[in-house]
Amino acid sequence: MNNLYLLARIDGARVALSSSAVESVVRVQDVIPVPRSDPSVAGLFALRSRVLTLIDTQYFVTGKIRPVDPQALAIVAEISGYHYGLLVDSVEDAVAIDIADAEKNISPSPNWAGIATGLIEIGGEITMVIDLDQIVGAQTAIAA
Amino acid sequence: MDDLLEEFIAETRETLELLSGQLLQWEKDPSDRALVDSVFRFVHTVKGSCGFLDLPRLLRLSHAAEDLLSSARDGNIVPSAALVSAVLAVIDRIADLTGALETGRAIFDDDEALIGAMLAFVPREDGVPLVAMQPIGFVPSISLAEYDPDVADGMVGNSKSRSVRVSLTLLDKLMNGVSDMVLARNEVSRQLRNSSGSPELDHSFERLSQTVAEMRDTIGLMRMQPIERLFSSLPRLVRDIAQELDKSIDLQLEGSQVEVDREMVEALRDPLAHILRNAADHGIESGEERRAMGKSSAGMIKIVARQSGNQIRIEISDDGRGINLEKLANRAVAAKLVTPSQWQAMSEKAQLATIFTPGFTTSQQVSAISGRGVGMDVVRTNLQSLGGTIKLENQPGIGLKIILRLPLTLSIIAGISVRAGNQIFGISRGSVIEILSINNQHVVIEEIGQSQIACIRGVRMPYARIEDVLGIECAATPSDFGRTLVLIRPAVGTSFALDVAGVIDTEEFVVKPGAPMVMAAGLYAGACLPDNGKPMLLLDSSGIAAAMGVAAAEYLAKLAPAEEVKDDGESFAALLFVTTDGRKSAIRLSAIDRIEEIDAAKISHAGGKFRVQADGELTDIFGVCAAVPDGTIPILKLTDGEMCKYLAVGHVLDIFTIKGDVAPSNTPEIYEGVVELDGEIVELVNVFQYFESAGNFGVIRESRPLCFVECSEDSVWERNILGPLLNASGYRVSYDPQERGKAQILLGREARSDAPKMQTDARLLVLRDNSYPTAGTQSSIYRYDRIGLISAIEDRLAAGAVK
Repeated sequence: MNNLYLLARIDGARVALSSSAVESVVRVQDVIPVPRSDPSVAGLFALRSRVLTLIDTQYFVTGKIRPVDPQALAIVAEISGYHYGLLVDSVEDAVAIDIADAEKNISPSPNWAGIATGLIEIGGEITMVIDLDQIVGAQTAIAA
Repeated sequence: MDDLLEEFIAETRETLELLSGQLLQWEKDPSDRALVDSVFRFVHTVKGSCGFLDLPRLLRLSHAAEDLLSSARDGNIVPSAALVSAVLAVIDRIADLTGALETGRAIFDDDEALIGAMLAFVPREDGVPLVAMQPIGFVPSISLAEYDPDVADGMVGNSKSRSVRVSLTLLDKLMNGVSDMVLARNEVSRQLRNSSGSPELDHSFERLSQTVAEMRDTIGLMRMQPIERLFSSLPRLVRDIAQELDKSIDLQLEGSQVEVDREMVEALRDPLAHILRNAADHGIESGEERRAMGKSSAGMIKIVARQSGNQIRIEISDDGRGINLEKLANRAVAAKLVTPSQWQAMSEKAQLATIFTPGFTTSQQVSAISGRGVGMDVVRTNLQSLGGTIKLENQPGIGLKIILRLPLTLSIIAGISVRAGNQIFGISRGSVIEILSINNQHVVIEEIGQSQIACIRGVRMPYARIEDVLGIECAATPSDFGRTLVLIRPAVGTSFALDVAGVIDTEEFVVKPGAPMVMAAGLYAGACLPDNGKPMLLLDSSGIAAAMGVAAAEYLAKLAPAEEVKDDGESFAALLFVTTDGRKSAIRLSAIDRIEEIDAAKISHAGGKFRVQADGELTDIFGVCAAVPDGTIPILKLTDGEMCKYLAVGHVLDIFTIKGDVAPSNTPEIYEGVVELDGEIVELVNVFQYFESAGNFGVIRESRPLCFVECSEDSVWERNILGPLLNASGYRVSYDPQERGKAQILLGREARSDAPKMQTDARLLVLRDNSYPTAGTQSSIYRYDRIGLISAIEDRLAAGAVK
């Protein structure tokens, strides 16, 4: 069991993502919008010869569509066979977390409920543990 | 003939390889009868093939060896070690010459010496072998001592392997690597443009750039293969099933040239086999049942593959009993899948869909072939995992049609890139019917209530702006000037006109699957990465049609029927174009299959006329100037319903309707006449001239005469020599006894066609093994008499036509 997590910030809040699916962290360029798709899809971008789908993660939290900044930071991850870029404000660190320590009793705020699976304290700061499958699974469930 | 030659080389090599071990054995024990036999068979086969292929040196060598070995077999000579080495020298020479056929290398001709060395063993009239008198001072150039089987094997092995199996992962890696290379090249190209490079550097870069492009094209092709690969195994499968079930089933295959992704071919194999088994077992009734129903006793299964827009569509239809919904209901209720009342409430489509339920079968009995209920659900699951769909069209008592639709993801499609707002999208070229400017005088956009309809040359069709469909802003270009209409025929639904801000280019797209949340929009077929390194979305024409609400618009179009443009003799549609030598001409639209662009490099002047290589075939091309320009040239693909010809043109101008009379021309075989168009006199090209010189190779396969060859399944001569010859001469060949009835010509070898009933058949041609006829037998043709055989077939066909 890989319990290494990547610490990043989404909409100012600190989140932890399981590093097992994470490939790299890149600055995205030339984002091509995808008209009429789910609002959480920020667009497509190219990484070497692959086409990746860019996910506007803050949309899950704020419910607002924001334009993608040039040179925005994204975490590249492979989720159920497809490659995605997850927009984040910043990436802080990679830490080992024992997921069993997560506070099961306190749920994240309703905004975060869709993608966060629990809260955990890391270095004195409350961090939300994000489930990658939920990020891309949430919409497909709605679409289907 | 090249194919024949290649086959001969490959086959000879293979046999030589197998033989090499035996040759060594033979050397140890020259009197081994079995070994003498196998060497004899080899030279005999070589001799046979050479006769057909006009290879005199090989023929002489093999003929002499055959003579000698035949005496040895008859016991006239006792093989000795010396005899073996003489024969081996000849066999080595045969191997050398066969290799030389391919490499074009010259082999020193001292064949006579080799033959002489060998024939010295043939006994003279007085029965004393020449060898006893030691007259030979000649040592074979490759003596047995020098004969090194490893070296010979190495030589054979090197050039024999014509294909290797490569994993798809590796191919993908290669493809990604090359794509990266292309992106890097583009980057370098940008930087070169900014810096003032030297001409030498530019030149070198140009070469690098070209090599990379060629490499990418080649790698792209590596993934694609004709669906024929899949189809070719099906006739055998159906034949076996039919035999097992004691039914008679004809299988028809269409569209085997459709190219699909290699992976798709493999993934489709099992589902197709399942469907065929089901059709043969459940669908097709027994012979008596069929006759009772007034159907022909032989069942028919037809498989049609088609690339339709950005989908591959495979239809499997049978003329069997179809699905009996009542029976299906009983089964479904018995299996507790539904209650009777639920069943009543279900649509027919939903009712039919129950056959996809796991573990469900309508067959009363489980047969070895199907009916275990693991068929259709597996088929559907497999297809869905490929991103495909399955649809049933059921006509109880008449037949069942199963339609599989598969996406083109992972494959390469030709497409056009169009501008919408500030973005660029791709559209598969297969679904595009026509591209024309919105300012064209034949285009009128009509407003009906809230919706708009395009009226193009009097034909109305649904119309929408691409920006409206996609919900994006129109680019701030000055008004509507320069907008373009793309007429699209989607895989499902009717044609429509899509108004785009501009058509940019035609390109080859490497389709990459879109993530589920992108595909969920229902508008996209995937994405691709053009050379500029920015991703591009590919539009799914069916999805766009659905988003436009084409069905509703279609209704409107019906309400207001437009003036029909028909080719009724009085008025007809024609295409106006400029010929390659710069004159304006017109041609009947009905003769044009489509307008394409082809690579000028594919045009060659061979055999007295210009030909072009396209779709794996050589097709005649007309209107080519002596100096073929570089790059691509536009061509019209003409068809007379059966054959295709290309006509090269300068460029295409417009489509218009010719009304009234066509003034006759002085050269009616070239120009049908002249017409007046907007005050200009234009010559109307006579299409006839392009087809009159047609050979039989353009004729569609099915219309070629069928020759049935009577032979066993392992017969070498019939399948390897006779069959290819007939094929090359423009006949279809069948070895399947079931097709004997349909064949126009029956061919059998004198020694083998022992069936007396065949001899009375007027279609039969008997082939004999000897060049001279044996007394007291029926008339026959020497089996290596190529010209005699072909002319005899032609005579028989002509005689049959008279009757």
